[in-house]
Amino acid sequence: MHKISISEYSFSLHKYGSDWLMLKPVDVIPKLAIATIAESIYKQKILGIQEVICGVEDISLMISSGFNEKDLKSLKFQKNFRKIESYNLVVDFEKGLDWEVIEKHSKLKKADFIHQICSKDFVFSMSGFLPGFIYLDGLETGLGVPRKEMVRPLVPANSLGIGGSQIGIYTMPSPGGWNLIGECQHSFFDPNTTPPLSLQVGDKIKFIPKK
Amino acid sequence: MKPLKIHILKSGLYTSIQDQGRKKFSYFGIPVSGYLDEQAANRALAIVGNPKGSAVLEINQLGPTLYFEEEAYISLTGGTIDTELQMNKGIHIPAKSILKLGSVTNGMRTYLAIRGEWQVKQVFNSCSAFSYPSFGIQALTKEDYIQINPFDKNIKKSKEKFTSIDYNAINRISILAGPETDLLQDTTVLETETFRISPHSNRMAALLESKTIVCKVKEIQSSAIIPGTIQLLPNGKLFVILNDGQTTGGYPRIGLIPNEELWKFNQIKPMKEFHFSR
Repeated sequence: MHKISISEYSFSLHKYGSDWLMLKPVDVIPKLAIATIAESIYKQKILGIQEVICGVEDISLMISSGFNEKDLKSLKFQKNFRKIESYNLVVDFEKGLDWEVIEKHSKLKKADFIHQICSKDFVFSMSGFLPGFIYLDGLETGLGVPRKEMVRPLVPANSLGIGGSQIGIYTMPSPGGWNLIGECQHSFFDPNTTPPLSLQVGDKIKFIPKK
Repeated sequence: MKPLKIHILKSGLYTSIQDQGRKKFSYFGIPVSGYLDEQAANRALAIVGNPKGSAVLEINQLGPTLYFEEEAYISLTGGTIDTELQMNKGIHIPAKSILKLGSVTNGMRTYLAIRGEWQVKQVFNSCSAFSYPSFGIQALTKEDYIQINPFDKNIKKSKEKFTSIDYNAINRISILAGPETDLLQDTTVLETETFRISPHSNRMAALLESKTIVCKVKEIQSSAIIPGTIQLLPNGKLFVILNDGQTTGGYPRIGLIPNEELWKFNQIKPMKEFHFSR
């Protein structure tokens, strides 16, 4: 199988249709390393790479003529020359639509759940799935709640939700299966600006309950 | 010159403005959207002399009723639609006329191009409607209107001749393997089974009806999904991700309809039998 090295990590290359290439790490690597490499590929606008999609354990690239593997090997890491930002994000937990489910599953009272969510930093790892969805890393195992059986046809914009072991923000109205715990009072995603997302991989978010 | 104004009197089943779509934004989870039958859309544009990749109306199964305030030059391509007008040909529409389009009888989707520069909202470099209200551009509804700036008269119209395609004769779609095809209990099941597109399909995904298909895994770690990807639901049913579909997902990707075949798939009527081949 064909392999390449990016930074200190080794990836195997797999075709996905005629114009997509999937990069899978050969050994287990930190999730944030995958997200950081995907972000670097996207931002460095490498010739012949039309699209970049970051998965949990892989990176997919849409390739066109002019693509050269050497450009991936010599990729520079954005992480090395930028500062990690920390944000305080005010959340109106009173607007959470699924507290009943959350309390039942976590066996925690709403106030205790909120206290735990607000007592640590979460790290932005990736966006995607649907427009403006933001995945955050760092949810403690005890706070995980399974996805809803039925997808909610329209989740309100800026909803903060729990889906399985993950926490994330629906910045735009969209269908969604996560249980919702509140409404964020600031949006990191604006479809009318470029880039639309003001977060970078590794940035930290601390939730503050709205008074 | 005065801009053309075209009013939507009736929207039809699902009539939307589409162009070549949103490119280079899938990193942010932005689906490409855009024409489901790119060939037919570009043919419609060529006939009226509009640029390739620009805006058209995509008509799904049942056409809209439109009111043209000013005279216009239009074309209809793709699926044959019930109208007195000829398909695949430039047509002059007089001012103050009503165009009533009926059912798509051969195929699934008809494209309507109108000569001129469409004055429509753009988000992420595209005016394509999206299935959800995320960008504020959705399918057309009654009382919407489209404004178009006419070109000056000198721009050459295409003289190319186009013949219509018998979409209702499509019964075979060539596919490629997907990243998880090897995990199927029977890796040849897609080629041996008969499929039908469910009427509950939309621009995000076409649901397929078939016998239950078995895979060794029910879910995978979230990974890229591209239009044409055939995914397997935990209940053993398949769906094909289309242009408005999500950019990542967790169901096994057991096949892929390549771009050059996807327009054909998108013209197959619901409940009509077809086969995949590799």
